[in-house]
Amino acid sequence: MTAALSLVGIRKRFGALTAVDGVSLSVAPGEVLALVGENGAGKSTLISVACGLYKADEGKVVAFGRELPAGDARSAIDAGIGVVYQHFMLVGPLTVWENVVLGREPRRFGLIDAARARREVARTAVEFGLSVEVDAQVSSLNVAAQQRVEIVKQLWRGARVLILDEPTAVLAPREADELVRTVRALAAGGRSVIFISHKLREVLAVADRVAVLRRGRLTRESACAETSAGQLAEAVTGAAERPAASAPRRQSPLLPASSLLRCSDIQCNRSNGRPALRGLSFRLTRGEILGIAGVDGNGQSELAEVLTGLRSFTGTASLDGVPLGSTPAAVRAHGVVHLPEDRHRRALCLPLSVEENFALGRQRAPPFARGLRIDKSGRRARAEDLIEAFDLRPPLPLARAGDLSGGNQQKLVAARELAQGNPKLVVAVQPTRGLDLGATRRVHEALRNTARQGAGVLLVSLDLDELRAVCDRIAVLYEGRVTGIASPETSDEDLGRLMLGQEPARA
Amino acid sequence: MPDAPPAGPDAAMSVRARLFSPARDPLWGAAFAVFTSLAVSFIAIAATGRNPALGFAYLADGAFGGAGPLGETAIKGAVLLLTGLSVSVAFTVGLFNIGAEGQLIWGALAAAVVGRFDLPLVLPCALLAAAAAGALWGLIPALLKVRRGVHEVISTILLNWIAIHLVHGWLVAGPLAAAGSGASVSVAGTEPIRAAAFLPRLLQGSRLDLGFPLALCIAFAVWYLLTRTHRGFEWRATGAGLEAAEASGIPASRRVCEAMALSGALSGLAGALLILGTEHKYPGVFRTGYGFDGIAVALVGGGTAAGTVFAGLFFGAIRAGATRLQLVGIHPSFAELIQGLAVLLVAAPRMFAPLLRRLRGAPGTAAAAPPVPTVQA
Amino acid sequence: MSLNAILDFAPPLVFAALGGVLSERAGVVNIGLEGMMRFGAFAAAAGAIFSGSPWIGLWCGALAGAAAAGAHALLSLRFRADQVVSGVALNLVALGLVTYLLQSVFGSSGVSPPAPSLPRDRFGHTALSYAALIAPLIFAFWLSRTAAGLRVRAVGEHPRAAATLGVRVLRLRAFCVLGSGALAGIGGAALSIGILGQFDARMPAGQGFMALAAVVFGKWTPLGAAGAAFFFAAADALQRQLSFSFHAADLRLDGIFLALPYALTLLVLALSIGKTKAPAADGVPYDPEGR
Repeated sequence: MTAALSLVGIRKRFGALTAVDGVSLSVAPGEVLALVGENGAGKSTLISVACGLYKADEGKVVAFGRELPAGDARSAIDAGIGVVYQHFMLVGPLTVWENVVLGREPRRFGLIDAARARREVARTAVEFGLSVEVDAQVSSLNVAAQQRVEIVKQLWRGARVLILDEPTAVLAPREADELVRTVRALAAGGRSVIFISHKLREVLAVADRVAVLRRGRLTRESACAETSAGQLAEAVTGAAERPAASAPRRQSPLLPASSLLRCSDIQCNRSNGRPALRGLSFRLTRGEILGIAGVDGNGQSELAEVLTGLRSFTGTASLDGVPLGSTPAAVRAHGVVHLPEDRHRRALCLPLSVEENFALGRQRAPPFARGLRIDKSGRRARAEDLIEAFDLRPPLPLARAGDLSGGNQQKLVAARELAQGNPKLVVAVQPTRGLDLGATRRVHEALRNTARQGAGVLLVSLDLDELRAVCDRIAVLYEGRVTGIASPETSDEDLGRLMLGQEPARA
Repeated sequence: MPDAPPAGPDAAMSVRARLFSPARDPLWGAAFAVFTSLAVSFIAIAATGRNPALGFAYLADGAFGGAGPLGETAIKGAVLLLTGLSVSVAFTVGLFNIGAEGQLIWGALAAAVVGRFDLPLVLPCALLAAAAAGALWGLIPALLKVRRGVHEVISTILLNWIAIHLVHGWLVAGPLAAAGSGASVSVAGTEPIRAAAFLPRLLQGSRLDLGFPLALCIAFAVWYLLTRTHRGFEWRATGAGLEAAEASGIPASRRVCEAMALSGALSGLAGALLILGTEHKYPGVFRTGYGFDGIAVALVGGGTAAGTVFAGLFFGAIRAGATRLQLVGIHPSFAELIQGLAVLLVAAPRMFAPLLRRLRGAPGTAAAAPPVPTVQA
Repeated sequence: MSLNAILDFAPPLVFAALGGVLSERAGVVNIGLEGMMRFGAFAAAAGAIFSGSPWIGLWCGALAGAAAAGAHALLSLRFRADQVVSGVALNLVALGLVTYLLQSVFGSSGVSPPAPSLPRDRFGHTALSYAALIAPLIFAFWLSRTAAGLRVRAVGEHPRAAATLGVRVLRLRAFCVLGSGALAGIGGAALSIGILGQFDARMPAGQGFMALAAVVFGKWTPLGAAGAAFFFAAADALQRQLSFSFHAADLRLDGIFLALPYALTLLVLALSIGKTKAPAADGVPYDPEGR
């Protein structure tokens, strides 16, 4: 039987970096193939080559027996390859139907035939059991709905091979289950699906076969029925350990627990004026790592901004008995440090050097300054200390921050905020997003150390495994309120219910 | 530098900061832009049938051939380097100050007015007044930007035209006109300033005045402020990453206003130099274009103080020598063309990137650039 | 003062503003409108003078504007230069080059010789005045109802999304930039062979930037920008009228009146309620192989 999609000997370089090194993969019609690997292993690059966004340096892409011209997105689409990216490719201000038909608009007398477009989009959605609002503006939809639009978009174009890049990264457990059902239905209907994920248990549940990429090479390919999560983990990391459970269990703090942060009835709005937090209350004790879980968009980002002086709020928040400041400078003076979600925009001045970025937030005081003048030697010495402590690569204080890899950038931020002075409260939002295992471990270790020294840590994350591994307690946010406080042992199902605003099932 | 995909989206970086990122070798880029624009002009002159070598010889003579020409180069260079610094300082906080011309005009007027008074320290007072006037005019677009989100390119240009019309079309022609000018408004200008307010001449046989060393001192002071003080660091951080700067506690809006005030003050001082050093009154006809050229100076100078000084002097030389081009039948406005070309070429650093890499590596090998470019403070 | 005066003065601003909208909706900031207008104004006058026909002059103006825009497109799209810098550089080159050409072609540093102007109908309006009323409507229709218009909107908001669907982002942006140059060139032509009857060395005297302000004020829509342009033209006409009735020239007060339209534009921008949102990808260089 001809493979639906076949990648043969693909090699792709970016300058000195070889992202994909001689990978050959194929998927049969009606089959679900999982593609697994760490960040930076080359999955995204491979997919971009497969769908014609990138031109491979070597190798070819064959769809249903016909070789596709390299770097030609249109012919890949015509051949039936459709990709749903991790970061959605949807144009916010346009409607759902406009997004679906873009590039292949049905026409009548030279104008777009809007009526026909709407009809066809609605029909496609119904045919595959996906519910979409054809006339809604895409920017107003929630994440799961947007993902459905993306899938309809590919199916409307006649995609016979659907590639899903980390589709469950942004979904609650219940929504993820629904997606898995959709995927299996697609496969049953003769479509092929390539499912990319780093969640090993999920992958084994949804796919027929699994392929593992590591450092641009294929290290394993086998049927899911014959593979265990442990074997997969080994192939992914190259070491015989499971990433999720590799972090040592959290030790109880040796210091007496005393209340550090008290938040009561916090309310605030989003940037667009709609309410984000609707009466949020919780407490954080010294030495504790409190996780904040929840589906993206339920107020976690705004909570972090409230605690770091970047967003105004009503209600009471007090740190060590003193009301929390309302500007970044005030909270910083109070001992609050922030590892923000979007480190490129919020934490780093990318065109400046590593050394200068270390000074950010502390530039007026020693060792970075003496009086009005910058203390160059003091700054250099501090930079070198921090670089060494956190193993920043390359270890050059004058390297441009924007040229560092994501992992090293995050280590820079972590070093700056956690290893200087004695922070009282650490607000970390998605600190290990996009980082490889080594960098992730280091950041987690830094957070634990800071907690051990008596600080309180608030860890906001979309990754339940991370929260379980690092936190003492996990607070779940839904629609701007805390729906429950769970322990790391709480089941996925119960956490999932809390994340969707429902009561956890009581046995 | 390897063309690896950047660690994060390019869009997240301030675009202005990307242009001035020191890691991009601004000196080489500027040198190439200058050289190429001269070469293109050379060819353009030849294409019109005139003698380019002779033309360039006259140009060089007009710029460097003797005390007189050197003086012209110096005083024009002084004004240009100040307006160039003005634009550069604004770039530091991420703003594009096209309003140097308007700030210069108000500064010049302030100097011309204060210079008429019988004050004990009239020269420093006139300079301060000029700086203050320019600073105020520079503060307006800053406030509009931080409070109302008005794009500074549009607001500064509109303010230029407002300044030109208010000053040339009303103040200098009307209330401040020299007494007894009557019908010949267009020539008269304001009353002359007192002799005590003149910038003293320094060199026999030329118009070189105190303004030149003054401008160099100011350039040094600005350099020191930007690179050696923590206030300057905060300005640079604001321009390099606004959100990160704010999140770190820097009051970005205030810093932006401070920088724009200084920027305006620098252009105002440039105007003062013209009045107190050369014109000695605000003339009726005063289309200088020094403010606009300041943009070219800042861009070619690559955002560093030293680069701006050299670019300023270079363009000053071109201006000084340009009148001699008429001797080969080329209109002096050709000088503006050379400048415009240089700016156009500087705007596209990537055009030179492959060439630069080859030059920095050993001949015949692939780019021997360091694996990670370093930042020169 | 009447609607007639507004209809006469509006075309330069309206066409330039439409040019601005076209470029920016596609995601390319176009600060160089002023320079494109300048090239257009000069080329129109020169073309009309040398050919004897104002219509050929109009074509020359459009072509010159497009050619200038070509430089901007090359720098910003192919070389991914900072779009604001590229636009400013274009303006600087336009300033110098056109002054130089005025001198070398016509031997003047003030005005060109009189150029054959566009014919006026019995109301005293040129074809461009009427075109300025219709063009925004056609443009708005095109943008919202055609496939090309949809793609332009997509490319200005999320170019990568459009690219994944096979839309050729850079090519589309290039067409839009060239188109915007042609429109600005027509705006410039409206100045030299539509209104004044010759080229003046100061043209367009900041109108390119007023057009930009009109784009912002009009929230990047064709109808909004054109409306704002008409508003500014009205302000300009009003200023002339007031200046005349106050005998401002005699009282040496005309500077105040001349400054009024610019001050008004600034005021309008400052008071524009709410954060005006440019197209999301406006000003961001598109890298086909970026992330």
